[in-house]
Amino acid sequence: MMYDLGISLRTLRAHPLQSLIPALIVGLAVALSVAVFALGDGVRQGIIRASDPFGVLVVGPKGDAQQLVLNSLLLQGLPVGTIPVEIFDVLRADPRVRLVVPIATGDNLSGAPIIGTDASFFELRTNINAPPAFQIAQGALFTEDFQAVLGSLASNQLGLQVGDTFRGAHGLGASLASDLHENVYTIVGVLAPSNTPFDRAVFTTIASIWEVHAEGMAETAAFAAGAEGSVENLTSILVSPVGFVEQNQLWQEFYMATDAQAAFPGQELAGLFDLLSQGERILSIVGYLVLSIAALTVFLSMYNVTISRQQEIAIMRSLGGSRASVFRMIITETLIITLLGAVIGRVIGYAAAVIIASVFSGSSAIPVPIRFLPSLEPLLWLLPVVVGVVAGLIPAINAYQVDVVERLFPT
Amino acid sequence: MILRLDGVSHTYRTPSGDARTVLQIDEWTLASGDHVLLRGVSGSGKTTLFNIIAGLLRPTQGVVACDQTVLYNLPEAQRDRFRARMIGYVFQNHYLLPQLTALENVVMPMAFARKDAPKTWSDTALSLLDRLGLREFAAYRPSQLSTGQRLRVAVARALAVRPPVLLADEPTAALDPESAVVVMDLLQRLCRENDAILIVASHDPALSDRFGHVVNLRAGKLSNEHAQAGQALPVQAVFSVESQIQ
Repeated sequence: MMYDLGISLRTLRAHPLQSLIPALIVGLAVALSVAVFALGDGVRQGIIRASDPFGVLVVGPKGDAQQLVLNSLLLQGLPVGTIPVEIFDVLRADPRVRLVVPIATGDNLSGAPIIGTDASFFELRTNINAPPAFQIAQGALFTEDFQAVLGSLASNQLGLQVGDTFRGAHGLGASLASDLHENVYTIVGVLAPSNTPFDRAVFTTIASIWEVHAEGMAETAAFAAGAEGSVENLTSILVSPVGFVEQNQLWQEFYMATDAQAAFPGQELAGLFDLLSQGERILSIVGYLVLSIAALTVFLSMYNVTISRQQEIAIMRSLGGSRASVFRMIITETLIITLLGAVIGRVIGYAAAVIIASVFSGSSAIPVPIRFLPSLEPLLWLLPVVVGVVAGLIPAINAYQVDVVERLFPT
Repeated sequence: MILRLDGVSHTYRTPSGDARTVLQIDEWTLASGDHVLLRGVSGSGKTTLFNIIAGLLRPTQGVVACDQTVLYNLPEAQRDRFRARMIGYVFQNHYLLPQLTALENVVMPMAFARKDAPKTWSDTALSLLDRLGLREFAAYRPSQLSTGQRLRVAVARALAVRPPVLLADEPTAALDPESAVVVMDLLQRLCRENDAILIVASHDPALSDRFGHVVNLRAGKLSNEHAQAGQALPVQAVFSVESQIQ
């Protein structure tokens, strides 16, 4: 058996292109599956870590709860709308609430969202005994309006430091110079990295945001869309209840209310994960299609090689090699090709996932941890084996049927 | 060991549908140690005869037997095993596997025959190559060897499992006279050592003196050349006499 394997390896080495190209195509198919599943897993892990680090309820306007969570905690997409600041006041006075954090978004600095909030934001913790999640690395927190604190990534990407000034622009994407507000912010602090999407944000006082929009109210619409025409609105409130029972009570009350809703990030993201899973399923189908094409390539390659090797096969048979042994040899060769592809696929797939995750994390500040997925391994070995056997079957039957005398003594 | 062909004939259909008999042997018996030169023009049936003896081509009629084993009564897989263990075949075109080294080519029949333990294969093959003056070329591929060297590798491969029957089809055809002498010396010496039946098919008249038995194959029929001029005896008669003398 070892000798048969040796002959198969020598034969594959003797036809490097016909061996490597199919292996590479199988590898790309496997890589696609590996990358899809690894990225899917990484995005899930990243979203879970980024969206629910503080165990908060997100209170915001009625509408798409998933969008409310995505905008408030992952800083993705647009705000659902605004809620009156009175809701914040009521919650702050509620004994069932341990911490209440106002959030007002709607402006940006070269694409980095400007978040209006107060000192309570910097009291958010991953658990009650943990230190605050956001720590000042340079300077200090804002104490006056139009002072700003930069997240670590925003500081790096924008090249701004303590003492620098800037003007915000309306909206959440990078804007033209003509969109800039008149008010000038002064940077007073830079945060240490928190490995959350807030690393790419700019923080200032709520009043600063309100003032900017009061001045520009005539031409702005999105933020100052409060029902009463007031700009003293919030896009969301992060609420940290004192306990589980209180959390459920608050959620129930908001569920019954007409002016706002409360959302559990985990619950809303479960819906997002369903979407993600659907995307994965679609990409898996694409992966299977690519694998089918790879199988066809392996088949064609092995078929051609077998046709061109009929004399070699006849020589082996003339020396006592059985039909079964040449059949086994061809199947072994296709299996080597597909298993080599499986190995190549893992390397390419995980490498691609790491690179894509790094690019995505760099732009979104949502960490996408790529980890080895043992649960995927049986499938990723089984599929290339099945492809190898199926693709090698007809070439192996051809080899099995070679007429020794006809091939070696054609006259 | 006794190799016996009894009433063996082979007929095939021409493209026009006619039946053409290319081999017709009433009886031919060879014993261990017999060295036979088989002479005949192209198309006389030499290769057909070799292929029938090797178990590669089922004759239209007749029996091929080694001792008590009737070759074509065996299922194909057993016939393959028989060929691997009992028959050495030196092809006119050498037919070495191009992707394998000289050593690996020699090892191949041992892997098919499974007569010896795998750990001995390389040593046996190297020893044979050494005796054929090819030890330093053991790692060379056929494309890196001369025609004479390739032939010697083919001889080593044919002898690798010490087969009781060795068939050599025009082994000296592509060699200069000096190389032909070296190869034939080796072939005969190694077959004597193994007490093997050696049948060499060749046009080369220079080989006649090396063989006690020279048989002609004309139109598929065997006759003995060493009989009185113009009175070729049937082959079976000659070997019967030889057997009685022995």
